[in-house]
Amino acid sequence: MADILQVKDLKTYYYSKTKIVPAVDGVSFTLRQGESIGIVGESGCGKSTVARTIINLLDHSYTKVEGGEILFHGQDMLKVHTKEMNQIRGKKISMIFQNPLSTLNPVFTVGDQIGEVIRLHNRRLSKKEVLDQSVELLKMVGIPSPEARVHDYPHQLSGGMQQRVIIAIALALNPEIVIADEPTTALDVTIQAQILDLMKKLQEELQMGLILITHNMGVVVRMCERVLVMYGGVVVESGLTKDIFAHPAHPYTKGLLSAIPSVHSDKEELYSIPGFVPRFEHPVTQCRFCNRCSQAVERCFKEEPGFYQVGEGHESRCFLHENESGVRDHGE
Amino acid sequence: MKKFLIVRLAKAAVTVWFIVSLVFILTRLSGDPTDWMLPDDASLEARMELRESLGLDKPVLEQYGIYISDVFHGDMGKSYYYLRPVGELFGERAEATVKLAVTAFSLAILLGVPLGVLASVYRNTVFDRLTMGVTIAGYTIPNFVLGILMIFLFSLKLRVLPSGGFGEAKNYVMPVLAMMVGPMANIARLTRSSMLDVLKQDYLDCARAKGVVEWLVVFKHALRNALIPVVTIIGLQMGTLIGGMVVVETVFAWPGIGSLLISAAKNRDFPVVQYGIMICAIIVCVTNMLVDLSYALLDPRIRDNF
Repeated sequence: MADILQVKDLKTYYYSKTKIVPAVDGVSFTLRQGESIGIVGESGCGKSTVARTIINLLDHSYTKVEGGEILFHGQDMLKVHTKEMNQIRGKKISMIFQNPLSTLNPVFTVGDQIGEVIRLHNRRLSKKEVLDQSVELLKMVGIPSPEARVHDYPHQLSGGMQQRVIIAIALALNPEIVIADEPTTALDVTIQAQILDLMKKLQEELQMGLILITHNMGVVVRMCERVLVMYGGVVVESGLTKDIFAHPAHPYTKGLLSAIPSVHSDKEELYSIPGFVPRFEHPVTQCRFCNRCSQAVERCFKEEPGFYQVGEGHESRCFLHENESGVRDHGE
Repeated sequence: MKKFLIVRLAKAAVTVWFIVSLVFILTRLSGDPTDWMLPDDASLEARMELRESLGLDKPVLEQYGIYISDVFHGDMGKSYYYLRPVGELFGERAEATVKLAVTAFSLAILLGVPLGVLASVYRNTVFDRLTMGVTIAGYTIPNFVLGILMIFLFSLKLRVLPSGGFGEAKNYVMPVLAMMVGPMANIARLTRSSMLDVLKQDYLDCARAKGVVEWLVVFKHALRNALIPVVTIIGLQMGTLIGGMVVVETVFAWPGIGSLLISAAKNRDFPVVQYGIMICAIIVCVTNMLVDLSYALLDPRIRDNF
């Protein structure tokens, strides 16, 4: 399968009056056609910033892309003009947002909001054709009696239905890449499963590339072929989902996996990684996880580890794996 | 919807009745209009006769009863001063006032809303600071002070604009400015703060992610959501505008209802004052009702509650 998106050494920094926060500090990955990649990590690890940088939804009053490339079919998305970006957004790359309740505009009907993206990228369609397509899309995402619902306002739908509408908007023009930023976090567990199944089904049917951002390891296993585990603005481990789950390499990934509660476990207390994600300031000159790592040695506090191979397509940013294979730098 | 309208109309009727009654009492407290209608040396008989013919000799409560019954019969009485039916007097002067008020009010909205939107989009820039600085000045300066200052500058010093008169375009410039600056400043400030809340909303990112161009994100997706408080303040400004109209028309000798009302108040011309205030009260009540109805138009969530 062809590579459709290559992110190379992406750096997005947040600026405040007193400091520079490297929210994304050298992230690289490649997305192939029809592939699904999960980006996991705790709140504040930079996973959403990666997504927002790709589709250029950053608030430029305090963020700046400091370096790197985002190649979409070889074209650097960081250099395209606004006009061109608007033609890519919604049509070739689209996004599913976290909170369905606040993602739909309360004053426009569901049909208006789906129709808007259709009309924006194909101005020759008549009103009737746009409406018909919107109804078709609602049907595709499993909304009952779509002919009636298309005239509803967002507040008349349940959270799960609203998220289906957002998926319909994102998939309206059959995009090559869909970025889903915590698409099920705000939903009930039963609805979460339905939405994930729907996304998986549509992604496979339509052969879209999916970048799924989540803090939920269970969601990743269900949805993604490959995973990037992020911590403190960098990818600390990447590889096939099945490899990472079977043999997690980085101490942080191990911690994350142990933190998944299990029904079979008879332990009283849930496991959690001690401490919290520190706020890093630019430049970082240590392993970002060292303060919380049980295996940290002196070197971890003085030097930032590289990305070391631990298996076929499986890499870890930890000195523990330095000797298992040759060093690889951050980029690809 | 129907029930809402009926309830609101009933409430408005009570408000108008209350204001009319209050004005009736206040005018009676202001003194006897026959004092100036007759020469100082007029005989007591002549005075009594005039009072009788105007119905002012009856007990106040009875006068009030007659007045309310007349209002219900559509008889607004005759001016004591012009000796003509008040309806006619107002009819003649309505054109000048409506033209001035509509121009000033439309400009206040048409300039105030976009200024507020732009200030919110370019928040904390020089443009924003400048606009907000000017609007603070705009709504703190009373309109009559502004009017007098403008007459001083443009009519007396620079001699470019007439200080009074009615009819030509240049006659409108200063009265319109004096009347619109306050409401415009208020509208702009409120639009800005309302937009600042809306600009943080996720649905704007969703619109951007669809490929909607930024100015449409702002003026279509954001503004529509920010308008409810703005429409409220626009409704409230209507009251301010009517108050301003009375003052501004006097300052610029504008031949409208405002200046008629002022002279009527000075002359204790009770029927004119009562009629004028009643009309103003009705206009304000109707505006408030329209504001409430426009909420439903703007926001489907409110529409469901009607």
